[in-house]
Amino acid sequence: MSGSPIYLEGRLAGAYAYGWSHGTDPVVGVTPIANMLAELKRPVRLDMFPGAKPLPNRPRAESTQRPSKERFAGLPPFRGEHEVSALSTIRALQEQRAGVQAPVGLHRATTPIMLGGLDDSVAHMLAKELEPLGFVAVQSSAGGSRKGGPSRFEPGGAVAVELVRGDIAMTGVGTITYVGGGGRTLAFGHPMLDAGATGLPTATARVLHVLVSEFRSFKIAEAAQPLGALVQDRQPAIVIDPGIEPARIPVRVKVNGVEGAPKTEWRVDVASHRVLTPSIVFGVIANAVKSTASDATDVIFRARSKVGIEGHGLVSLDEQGFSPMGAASPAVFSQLQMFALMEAAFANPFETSRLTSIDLELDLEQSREVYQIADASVAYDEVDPGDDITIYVRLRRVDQPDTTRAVKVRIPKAAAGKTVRVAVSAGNRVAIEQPRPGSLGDLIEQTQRRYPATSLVVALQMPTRGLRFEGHVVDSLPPSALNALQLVSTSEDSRPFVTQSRAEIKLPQVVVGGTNLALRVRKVARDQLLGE
Amino acid sequence: MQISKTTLQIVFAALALATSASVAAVTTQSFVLDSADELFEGELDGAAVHSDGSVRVGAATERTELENIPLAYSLAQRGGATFVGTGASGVVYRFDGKKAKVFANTGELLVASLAFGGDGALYAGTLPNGRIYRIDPKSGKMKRFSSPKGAKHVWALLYDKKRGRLIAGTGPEGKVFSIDPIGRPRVLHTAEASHVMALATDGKGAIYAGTSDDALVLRIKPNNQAEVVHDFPGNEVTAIDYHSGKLAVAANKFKTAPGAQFKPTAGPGGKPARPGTRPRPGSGELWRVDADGRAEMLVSRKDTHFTAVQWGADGAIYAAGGHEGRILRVEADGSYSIWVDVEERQVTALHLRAKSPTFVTGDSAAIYRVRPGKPHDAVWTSKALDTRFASKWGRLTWRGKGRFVLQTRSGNTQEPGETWSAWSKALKQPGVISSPPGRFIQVRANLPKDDTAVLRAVELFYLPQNQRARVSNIRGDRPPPERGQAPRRPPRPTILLNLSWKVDNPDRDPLRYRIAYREEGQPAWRHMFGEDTVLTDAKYTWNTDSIPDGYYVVRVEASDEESNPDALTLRSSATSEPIRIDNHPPRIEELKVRKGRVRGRVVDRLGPIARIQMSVDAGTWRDVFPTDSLLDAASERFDVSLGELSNGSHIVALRAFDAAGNQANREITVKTSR
Repeated sequence: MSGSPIYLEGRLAGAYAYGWSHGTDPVVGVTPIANMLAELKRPVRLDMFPGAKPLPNRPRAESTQRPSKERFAGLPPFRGEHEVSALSTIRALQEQRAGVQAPVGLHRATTPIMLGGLDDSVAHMLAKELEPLGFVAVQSSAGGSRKGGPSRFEPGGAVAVELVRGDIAMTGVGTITYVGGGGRTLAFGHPMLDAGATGLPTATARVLHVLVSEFRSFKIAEAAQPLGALVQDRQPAIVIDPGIEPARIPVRVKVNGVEGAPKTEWRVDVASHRVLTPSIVFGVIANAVKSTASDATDVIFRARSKVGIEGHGLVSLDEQGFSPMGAASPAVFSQLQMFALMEAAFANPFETSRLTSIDLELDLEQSREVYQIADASVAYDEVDPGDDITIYVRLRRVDQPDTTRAVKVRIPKAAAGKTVRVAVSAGNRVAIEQPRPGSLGDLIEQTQRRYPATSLVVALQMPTRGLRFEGHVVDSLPPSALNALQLVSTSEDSRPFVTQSRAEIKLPQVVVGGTNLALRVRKVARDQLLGE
Repeated sequence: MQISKTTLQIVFAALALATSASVAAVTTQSFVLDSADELFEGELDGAAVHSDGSVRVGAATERTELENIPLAYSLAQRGGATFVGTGASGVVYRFDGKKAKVFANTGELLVASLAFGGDGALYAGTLPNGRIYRIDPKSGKMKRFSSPKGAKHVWALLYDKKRGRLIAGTGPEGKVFSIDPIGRPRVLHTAEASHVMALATDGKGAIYAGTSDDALVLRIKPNNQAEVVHDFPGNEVTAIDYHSGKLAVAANKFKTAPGAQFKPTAGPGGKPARPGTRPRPGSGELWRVDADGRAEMLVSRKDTHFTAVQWGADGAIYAAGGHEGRILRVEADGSYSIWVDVEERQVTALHLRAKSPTFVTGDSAAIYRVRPGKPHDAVWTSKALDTRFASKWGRLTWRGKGRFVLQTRSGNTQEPGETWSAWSKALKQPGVISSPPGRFIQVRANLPKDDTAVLRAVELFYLPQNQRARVSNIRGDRPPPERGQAPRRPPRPTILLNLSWKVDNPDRDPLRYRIAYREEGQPAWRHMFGEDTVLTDAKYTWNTDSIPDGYYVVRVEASDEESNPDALTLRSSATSEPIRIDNHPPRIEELKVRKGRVRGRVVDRLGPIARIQMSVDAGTWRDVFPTDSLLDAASERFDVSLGELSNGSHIVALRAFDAAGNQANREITVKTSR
């Protein structure tokens, strides 16, 4: 297992860390111990790991002066400019790493991730996401607490990086190479995520079985006793400081509405990391739903989440949605806005913050009671500028006659002689023009400011443009003002957006689907032409 | 370089209409800057460029920067204080002539309009929420005064003494509101257009309103009835000013700005947001509308729209530009000058009739005071003039009245920068330019403090470095088929070969070509024609009649000796790929008829044989295949059956072609009997 100490003539030479694919000779790559020892000299400050606490046996006082950039995990900070899903960050990191070519034939020893208590499909999904980052996911023993095992780190012993513990377990496992002064420990002989200063929780581990494989052998192990934090994740090794108790995020997922489900509530503690946490939390949610309601039938869900963000309390979100493939289709939950909140907490450029808790109540209802947008129509496809016209939206429900909703929109005078577009869509599919955020509070507020999935939104594309500023959105600008406000003396993005005039109809059930209309606007109103 | 006066005058006259180096020869060339458009392209600092093509001393201004503020947009003055509405954080500044201080913060995006009310309070119209704030002009204490329904933008405010109301021009519903002293708005007029951008009053109860996206000026009469004063070309009346019974109107035309539906990017790995790109200005027209309603266009500019307009106390109209930060001063006859040119992108608001004439700018924000008297330094600086090649400089001359001081600097980059030379020693009289050779040159003129001084033309002579012409892609083609004649294979033989080549002649000076050839394996070049033939076209028809068959390489030399002295003449040459010359037909040998079969051999010097045909008794020509079925060699044998022939004598004719179309014929008589 990577990190195994290599001794030459009784002296520690380094750690097993690399191998050659399909090599038949017993030749391995060794990270020299000198390179690994150099990593012990890096300063470790508590402020690098928001939420971490020093343990009584920690030898030195810590500075808390500088917020760290490590929380961005090598990705750009988040200013709310992109859509966030549970897998956005891990995929961005995958993409970034994809461009880094390893020397031909030589490969870093993979880090086995032991998955416990996970449904096969969820384990497969997580394995697929983790593999490009150098992890090999292995289904292992079930989640739950373990007692016993080693109480301290020893060279040659196993070390666990506990990504999740509780009802579900996800543990990265490697071997300890060296234990230095103050218990600082070197392991792996290679990086885990190459993430620099991280605060992932670590634990002693015990090996349950050595799985011998001609392709790549590894040990099946499990975490034993929590101990310290992974403080440096660097090219030659990971460094564990046993004097730090890292932050863990308590996560509770409760699934309601499934009669007879053997288990409806999951509680886990998840490591705090911008890239890993959202995908792990998504895995926890997907696993909870899969275990409770794996039926591949239409499901309407309501997700009430409370996300604890340090300095901002509990942020509540109430979302609804529909999955025609059943709740067990996890993609539907990866779009929950709680993941945007998590990204804001981890990666906002405004303040050092962190996630403190996640609580999700999922109400599932096996039902097709949704409004499907069937089509939209108008009486005439050529309209007068300045006219109020009615858009008729036909809504379809299973086993019920279609209903029609009428929405009045005003055709702008400025559209004379042009074609205007009308988009009819479900509320949660509408991207609202948001001001550029100036604080984490703004980002949180923007996450909450959306049309609900139970709204039908009719949007008329106007011929005018608007601009976004910090704290403000301005639309329907006349051209001279648009020109003046497109500031070139600032570095901010000043691309104009097309103004939309929107009308919202609230419906009792979730709306799905969407449609578009194109309307030709006469150059001159008919009445005017006729002199009426 | 010495140039005689006569020569200089001739060149001056010849180039009077051009500033660019467009003459197709490497001779002395010059930039003549004497038209309004050429002079407008320069930078002005205290100088003014007039539409008659002259530079004079302009206005003296004093700049006060609003630090970290990108946009000043509105302006109001009372007493000695100037109030400036800004964006993008909705702050109102108070400027006392020396310092600008934050006076009130509306918390909105932009203070788009400012006006004093009848109560002496300062009112600020804002966007994007369409709110109007009342600000105490002494303390800066502020409160929300009015939020007219449906308004998102308050573009214009004025106090109408007759009505005793604050009037607001708004968007995007094109409404003019009348607001009573306690802030209650009432719709005075709803325009057909989306925005009411500008307001003016005649002081007698009539209110003029300029609109966007129809470029109209409306008159709202004292009885609140509205009428159209004039429908202007374009799509926006951005500014109007009423003075002494006349209106000045800035009517602009904009193309729809690019834009897309707002949509967040796909993920954290997506492309970073693009920093601001310079928005494209509209085009602008400045109009005067007389008291009798006659509308007359005074100025039309394609390069800028107008953002603000104001009558001066002297009867001139001042129009601020939305591009390159300029203010035009327009006379009653339509002649105009660039009166002020500032560094900022836009001049956004004018207050020039005031005791302390002031204007403000956007991108970035600054307050300018127009000082009385003439500027300490009035300088006109040309744009960087491009000679296209490294050039030596000649004389710098100018024409005008007054004691001007001119300087130059040169460099090799389009934008003057650190790599450019320093400004040269001042020239008080026309003289030789001392800047080092380079591709680009700039000239600047310091104007004397003299109202009568006028600079009318600047001319700058240079000699561009001679550039070598490059010959490439030499081809030898047969003449195309004659009209009506279908291309055939093999081609019709010809002794004429059309030679052509490409020439890259950067300085476009006249060229002469010399052509030589040699057989592929021979070292000696032979001239195709003598020195008495001057070939100036990049093509030549080569008569190859006397040339033995073979492959030949052709060399073309280009020389610019026709337009350069010997010492400066540059030559270059290029050679073609081997060109096949084949003027001789193949031979038909060993022709025999035996046992009803015709046998023989076709031989050519160069080959391959392209076609063999046979005809019996003057019948149809039929193709004959060689014995190996492939026409791929210079010698091909054939052995072909004559077929059924009647008893008697027959004439068997054969013909063969080589690849160049040369043809050989033979015939043989055959007697058959049974």
